[in-house]
Amino acid sequence: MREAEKLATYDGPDRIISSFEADLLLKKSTEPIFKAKSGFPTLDRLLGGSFEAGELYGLSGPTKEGKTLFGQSLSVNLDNQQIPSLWFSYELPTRQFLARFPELPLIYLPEKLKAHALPWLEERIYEAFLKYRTRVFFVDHLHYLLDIARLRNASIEIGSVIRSLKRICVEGGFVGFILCHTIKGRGGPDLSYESIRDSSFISQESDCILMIRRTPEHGPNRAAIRMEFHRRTGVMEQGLFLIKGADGMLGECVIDDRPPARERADLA
Amino acid sequence: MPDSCLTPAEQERVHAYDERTRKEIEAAERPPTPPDAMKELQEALEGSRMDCLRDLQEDIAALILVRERWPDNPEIRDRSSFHITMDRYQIEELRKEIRNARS
Repeated sequence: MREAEKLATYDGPDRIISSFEADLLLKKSTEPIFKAKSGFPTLDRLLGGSFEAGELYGLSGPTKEGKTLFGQSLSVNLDNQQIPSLWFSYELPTRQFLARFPELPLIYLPEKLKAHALPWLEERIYEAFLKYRTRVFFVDHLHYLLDIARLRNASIEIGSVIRSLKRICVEGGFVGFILCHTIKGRGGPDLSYESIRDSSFISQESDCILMIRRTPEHGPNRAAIRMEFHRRTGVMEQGLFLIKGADGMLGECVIDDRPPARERADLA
Repeated sequence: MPDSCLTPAEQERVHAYDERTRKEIEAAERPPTPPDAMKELQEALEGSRMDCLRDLQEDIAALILVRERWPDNPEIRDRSSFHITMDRYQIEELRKEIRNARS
């Protein structure tokens, strides 16, 4: 009875409010929403203009198909907008990771990495934000956040990691990128978010899944990136083509997949 | 009778040459800096350059904070972006100096 009375008059910061109150509170807030363009025109269009605070992006694709390079290219594009990003590069040693940038952008990274330590990762994300105002972070890659040896149920544990990352993004107003591998052998044109290794939770908890693969059929140094879905914009299965430029970073390119004009006329 | 048959410009050049020679002789006579002291000096210089670099990074963070706080004010946006660019330039210069000193 006493408990019921307490709840009936509860006035804490997590009290239940109406949608109207919530709307008014949001409008009262002067805190601007962080937004950042990807620097790839088609991707920006699919993003509804830009990445927004609180969003978690899954970036996947088979091994050696350009996940890290795409992340690095994004970092360079962000740096061109004077937006520094934070990297947890578990896969590449720092020396190699930095050497892959043609011109070193202003990014931040921990001097030493700690694997399988989500609370540590969260602390570093906040440290970088408070010191250097980094609002975008990259984790390369997801499986380094898990202790594979102690993993009992990969799917559930990955789900819990992804959920924590999403919470960090929402609470801190960050944009997160989590790189993850695909199931072995699930490459080729039928690559989709269902190809992501170990867990469907990655797709379920992320705001967007981007799948990258090389497209040698379009020429050397070509790749394609496909937005499997985007929760905010509602985009499904749309993509863009990429090319590795002379500077070693990825840029958008246009590939005309249509048959030559003569063939088109014949088809008509 | 003039003191010298040289024109003022030529006299200036001679003076500059004499001064340079004097400094070179002094430098040659000075005992060489011990390697340890040299190393210490280089480390101290590098330390101060690194401090400078960190200060500039913090300055950039402060400028980003200001820009984020007033995103719709073009003057604040332009001025903070300009200062970030200048800080970045100085960071680049410091990096070059540190690398050159190490090599």
